Amino acid sequence: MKTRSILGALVIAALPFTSVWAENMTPEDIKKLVDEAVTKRLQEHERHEGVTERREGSAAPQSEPGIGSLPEVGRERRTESQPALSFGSSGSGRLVYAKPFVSAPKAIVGGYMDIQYRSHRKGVLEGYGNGTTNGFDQQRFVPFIYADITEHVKFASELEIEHGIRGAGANEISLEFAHIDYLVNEPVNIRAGILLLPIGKFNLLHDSPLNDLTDRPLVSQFVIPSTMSETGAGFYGTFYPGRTSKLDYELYVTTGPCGHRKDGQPRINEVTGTKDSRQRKCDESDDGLDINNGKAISGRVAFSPMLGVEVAGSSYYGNQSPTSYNPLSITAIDWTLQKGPFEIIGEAAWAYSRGNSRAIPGNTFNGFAPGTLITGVSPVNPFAAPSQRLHGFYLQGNYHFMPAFLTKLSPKRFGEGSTFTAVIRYDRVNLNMDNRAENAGQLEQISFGLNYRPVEDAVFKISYQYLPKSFNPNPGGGTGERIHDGALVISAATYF
Amino acid sequence: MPLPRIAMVVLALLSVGCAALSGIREQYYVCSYDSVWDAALETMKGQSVSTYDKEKGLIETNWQDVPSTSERTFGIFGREGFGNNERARMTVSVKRMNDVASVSVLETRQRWHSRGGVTQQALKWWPIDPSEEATDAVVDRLNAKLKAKGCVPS
Repeated sequence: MKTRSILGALVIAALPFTSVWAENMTPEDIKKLVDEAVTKRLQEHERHEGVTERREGSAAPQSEPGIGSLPEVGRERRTESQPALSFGSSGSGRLVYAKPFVSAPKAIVGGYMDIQYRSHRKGVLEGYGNGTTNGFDQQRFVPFIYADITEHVKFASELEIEHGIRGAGANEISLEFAHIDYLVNEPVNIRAGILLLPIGKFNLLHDSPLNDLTDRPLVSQFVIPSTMSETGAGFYGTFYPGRTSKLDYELYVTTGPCGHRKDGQPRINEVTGTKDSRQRKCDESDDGLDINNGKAISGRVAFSPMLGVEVAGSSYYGNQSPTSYNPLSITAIDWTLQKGPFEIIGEAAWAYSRGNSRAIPGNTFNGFAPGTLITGVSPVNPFAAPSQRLHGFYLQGNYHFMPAFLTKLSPKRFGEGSTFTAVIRYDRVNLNMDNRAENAGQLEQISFGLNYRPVEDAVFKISYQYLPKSFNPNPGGGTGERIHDGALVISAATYF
Repeated sequence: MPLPRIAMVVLALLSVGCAALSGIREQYYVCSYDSVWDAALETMKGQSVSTYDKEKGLIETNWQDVPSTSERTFGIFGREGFGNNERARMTVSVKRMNDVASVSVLETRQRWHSRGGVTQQALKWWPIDPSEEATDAVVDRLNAKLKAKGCVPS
């Protein structure tokens, strides 16, 4: 108001000197003229003040992204007039702050973590001498970074830190997936990066807060080695073939497995199954790149005839040898049935590692000539060769419930959104089907569990595992032995 | 019991189970097929209809953004995350049954990022339970239109 009055006075004072002053103008014309002039001067004044403020201010956007004072990270938004960061941008040390996400944040950082305490009858846990029977383990701390870059470009990543308390070099930090999605339409989308391989359902939905028991199913640890991811690209999408049905598919071409150590020793064996043949387990010198010129192909087709029912088939095929053609194939089926508070889920998988029992060309492992049968690698059967055929499955029943008296007792803790789940799961694997004698890879497990979810994203679990067929890698001699075992497992997991 | 008979029994049980699971709302009208079809088509007028086939008795809408039926936030801190988007499409099926016509109404509803937390699978549409209110609204409109024509739902 003050500014307007001053400007008005200035304009009136200036009027006698302007050429537009005419004797025949009416008072109304003069007033209109003055008003227009004041408004014009006011706009000029505001523009001028704005420029001055931007010059004086510490956080204003600049014409060049790398020039000017440092921005308040995440607070400022890039103006339309400011050009995007490019190779043509100039600036000094502040250029590092000129990233698009500083001025226009897009990413969401989330994640999950878990913590468990387990007590076994036998000393199967890692430790000195005969191993330990019980202990705490903060197994997974997993930050996620997700971003919607545009309506059609998405980014997603999962960084996993396993057993983070361990010293440098002993813990496991890996990028489990990191990919860029280009959404074309619902039936066809493109994905490239480090991809979670679509083999079975558990590999795709392996987060601890989603699992109703603490341990992953045996088949998802040893036959489909969750988390199994590889670098590559492919397509995924959804079709709706019927009124209530849905068909999802994923199809990827990826780098392929890493089936042998540098000396040619097979990585697939009856103790660890296919775990060590994952791309992320390759020798350091391979830099996570392809060990041969072959690529792996994997895909999953899931059909849901109606809400609550889904069956899926999936497969993986790729050469695992650096010097010969020894393909590893994994085939799986999985199912999910939900009806009211009941769920039945499960997965079965078959792996065939062709030629894994024989020495590959160029190997230096224990002096085996190429093509000869490898023996002496099984911890319990010196005559057994490395695994070629592996099989396993699990079947799990869940029942969700919430006792009414608990809701009445504390509606906040046991109200809507919270639930108890009773779980029973049967697990069975055979990690060396060709070894019909003493076999370290024949495992059987029955788990009884109960968990409480205050919200869907957080869970407290307790379970008892009965293991009629198990394997202890830590007996006195360190060679491993077959055992009967049992374990009490208590854990918590939450997304954050 | 011979195997084919067992298979038939299993199939019958499955089909009964399927109907119960799918959330379809079914109504019968003592009315001509043409009247019921016209009323059904009129009921769906104003919505983005993708398919209508009188021979098959099928009317389907496109996916449409709909208000969320439930609040779903991201993580235990309840952040908004990728939003709480839902979409739905409606399927109306008219069947000829002698002097009676049946109409089944089904809403298929999906939510973006409905799964807890974030997983690779989060970035897709997840099926969720259909909205009973939305289904009832269609059935009520249809009933009103047919009542005006003198057709009573049974």
